[in-house]
Amino acid sequence: MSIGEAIRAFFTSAGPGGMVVITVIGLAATVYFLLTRWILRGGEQNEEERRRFK
Amino acid sequence: MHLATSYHPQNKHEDTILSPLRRITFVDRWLWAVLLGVMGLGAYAYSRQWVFGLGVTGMNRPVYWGVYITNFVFFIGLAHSGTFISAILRLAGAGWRKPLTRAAEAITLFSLPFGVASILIDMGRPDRVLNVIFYGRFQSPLLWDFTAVSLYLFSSVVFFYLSLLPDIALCRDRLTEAPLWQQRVYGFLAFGWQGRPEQFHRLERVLDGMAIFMTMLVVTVHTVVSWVFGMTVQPGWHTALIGPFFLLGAIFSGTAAVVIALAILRRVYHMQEVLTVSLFNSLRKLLIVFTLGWLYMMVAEHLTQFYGSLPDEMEVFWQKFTGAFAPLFWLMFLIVFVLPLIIFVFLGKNRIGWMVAASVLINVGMWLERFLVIVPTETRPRLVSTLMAGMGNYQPTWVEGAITASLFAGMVLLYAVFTRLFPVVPIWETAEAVEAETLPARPRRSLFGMRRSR
Repeated sequence: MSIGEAIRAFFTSAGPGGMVVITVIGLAATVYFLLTRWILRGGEQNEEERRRFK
Repeated sequence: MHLATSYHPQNKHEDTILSPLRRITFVDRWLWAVLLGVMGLGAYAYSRQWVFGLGVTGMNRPVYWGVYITNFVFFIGLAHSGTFISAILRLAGAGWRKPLTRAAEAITLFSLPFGVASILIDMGRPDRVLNVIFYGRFQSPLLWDFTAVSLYLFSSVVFFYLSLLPDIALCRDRLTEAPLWQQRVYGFLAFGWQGRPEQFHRLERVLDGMAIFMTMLVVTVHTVVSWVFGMTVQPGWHTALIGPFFLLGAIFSGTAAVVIALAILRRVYHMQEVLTVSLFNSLRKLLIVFTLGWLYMMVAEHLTQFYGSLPDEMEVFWQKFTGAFAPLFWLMFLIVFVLPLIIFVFLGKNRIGWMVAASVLINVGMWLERFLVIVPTETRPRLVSTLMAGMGNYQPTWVEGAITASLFAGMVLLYAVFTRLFPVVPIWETAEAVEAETLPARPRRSLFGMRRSR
């Protein structure tokens, strides 16, 4: 199958479109989860140090 | 239980903003009951449609899209208010937007699901909706729409939640007299937020980054919504202008909806000092620009059609200007453009009542505008000569009316309940700038004055 045919099949076959949707939403979910965790962990080290010196 | 080391920005309006959360009034319960009643009527109407099929609606050959798709476009348009106010104005550095960001974002959050629901309701076989995933093919604009709207809904929820996070933690710490279930909800949703300077710093960075992404999404989503129409070769739809036209209309009606919501919140929750008149004046200026922008789009769209005078296009054109849809069209023009512009320019300054009146007119008119984009083309499609006697008419039935009313009731209900559970004005974003000497440990930013929670 040539590249042109493969690209054409991507757009005209039943199925690949759904995979795109799942990939986009899945990727967004992963990124948002990591960002939220990163925010919540902000300053954890400072807090630990502060407690240790108390 | 939360740790005793939570810190919160100082805000002199904190008690005012939190007061709606401290008790649910008798009027609230009545309002919610009435809205639930309207939703119940919609559920009954939908059950009739489920049992007897789409024949109980006014839709017919070749009018396959009617009030439901009008609602879809309208709700998605309303949803642009939050992103516009919160993301685009954030990027523009407009500080005045801060008190109204959450009220606007809440409109986004609570109108999008009803936009999606409108699509499902319009489907003769909603049980087949997952076929979009299983057998989706990317040549279909419907799949582009599904992708864009899903991502927009998901991203809006995250954007909304992140900007709410510090205030949820504040509710967790301050509203100790709230019912136990409510305190547990705050405790769970706060995810251990402690208000450390580094947390605020990171939150600001993420919100700034997401604002760029959300701005791109807002353009993409409504353009793709318009392409559901524009990618067909139907008269009135097949134009490159339809994307920008839909987008501007969406931001226009969304911003007008924010004015209505803010005015109600201001009056009902006694927030005159928080939601000041100057905020409304700023929105008024934006709305004047949008009103004129909308006129520009209308002229560009219809003048191009008229000048080309293609027979199929002119069938739809004259339907709107002098035909069966002319009364609706000219009413729409009056209440979207003429009256609002007069009110905003001559009467609206410092007068919230007038601004609300104009905003209500704009939203009613924009719903009509969506209807007039969709239905006249459907009643006079390309190859109009193939229409047989009795075809090409559309009269919505009570089923469509009841379902439409229930969708709006649902949106208002969610919004009303939200304002009783979470601060509708962002407390941390509107906090006063205080020197950071009271920060708990090695402050990195001096924007927030912190204090120990009670």
